[in-house]
Amino acid sequence: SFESPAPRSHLHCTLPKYLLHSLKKSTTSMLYRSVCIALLLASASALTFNVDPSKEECLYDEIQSGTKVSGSFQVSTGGFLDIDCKVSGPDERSIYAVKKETEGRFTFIAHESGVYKFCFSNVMSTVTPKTVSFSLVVGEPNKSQVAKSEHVTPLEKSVLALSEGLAQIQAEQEYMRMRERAHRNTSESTNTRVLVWSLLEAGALVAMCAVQIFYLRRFFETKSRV
Amino acid sequence: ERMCGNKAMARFLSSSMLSRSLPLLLFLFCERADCISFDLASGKVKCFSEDMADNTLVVGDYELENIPDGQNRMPVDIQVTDPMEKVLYNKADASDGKFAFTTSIQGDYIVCFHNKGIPEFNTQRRIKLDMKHGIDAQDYSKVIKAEHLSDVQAQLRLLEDRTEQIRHEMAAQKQREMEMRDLTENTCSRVVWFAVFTMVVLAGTGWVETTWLFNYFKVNKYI
Repeated sequence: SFESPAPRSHLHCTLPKYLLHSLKKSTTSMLYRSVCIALLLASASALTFNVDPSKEECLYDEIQSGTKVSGSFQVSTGGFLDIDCKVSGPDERSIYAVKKETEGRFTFIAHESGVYKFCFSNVMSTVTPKTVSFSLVVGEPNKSQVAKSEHVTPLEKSVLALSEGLAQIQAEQEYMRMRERAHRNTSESTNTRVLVWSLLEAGALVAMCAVQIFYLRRFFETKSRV
Repeated sequence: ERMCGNKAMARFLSSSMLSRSLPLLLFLFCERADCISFDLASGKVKCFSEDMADNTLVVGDYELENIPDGQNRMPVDIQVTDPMEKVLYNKADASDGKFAFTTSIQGDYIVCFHNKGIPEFNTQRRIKLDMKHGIDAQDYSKVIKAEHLSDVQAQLRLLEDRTEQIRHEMAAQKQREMEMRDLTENTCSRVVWFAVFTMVVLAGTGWVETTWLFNYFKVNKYI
């Protein structure tokens, strides 16, 4: 299995209580199988936003207790490409906190139901806003609630494995896209800097030469007056 | 009806196709739209962007916190723009809603929320946003209904579409890599040329200085 730096999507689904009741009532193997298949689903969201200098931006999400949550963030533009990230639970308990990182990821199991806070602060910078891409994947609280099926055919298993694989490839591609963007920004910046710097240097040399000539001239003129 | 929930599932379960195609449909539509919410202070603008390939379907769902009348009324404007700064969706004083569009060019698509409340009151409004693009945004129930696909068939159809998207993305990445390569090689040759240029300038100023001073001293009979 390949190691993907992008967050793995945890494929689960929320089954409302009434559906679960109807599933339990039914005895057909098909429905039991369906419930197992229904274990797959990515509940993922990704957003890119700016964090102004000396400010903090927070995102909130309502998460049930017992859910597996994984998220990752990447800074794509701005200064040293670093940001502080803090994830805290409904009781203000800190779950994940890093300072001055370009990218990071975290995974945790929600210990209680409520609103979880994901904060990014740009307090270390006074002039440059940072662009942060944040991706969050939230799973399903009660995995054990769903019955394990005995009748998943090999074909369906393969199809589901394929589906998960492809979803992961897509997640990788998004990650690559973001990184390529940051790289592109750096390259363009380098290109401009080379041009500007060379011109500035040439100008400085010419100016220094002129200053030297005039200074020496003045030196000799004063002396001749003396 | 709460936006973030099994809306699609509830809608689908009421259809008659339920018994036959429940298995995979549960898989396909069991989407709990996971919404990220944020606070928007009055007078402020917050924008979210997403870099997307061309020809991608984008569906966005937003929900705003209800402010009871009488308090500081904070109407929020929503605007979605494409990379060319063309406005794709615009809603003043929005409450709950949805927007959908298909991207025509590759680039940054930005959705902005502008809180038109009075800044002095220093209040905030919580906004929920859910943006989906590509395969996740598409509604497969219609296709399944129209073509009477079985579970595995529907799933394979989904796979087909995903593969096509992946291929499309790879082609775009290839293009971007080509451009970046050109840019880097340009930078490399620029460095060489500008180093030469600097040397020339240095030598030139040195020569000008020496000859000029030499002439000056000669003229003034110092030498």
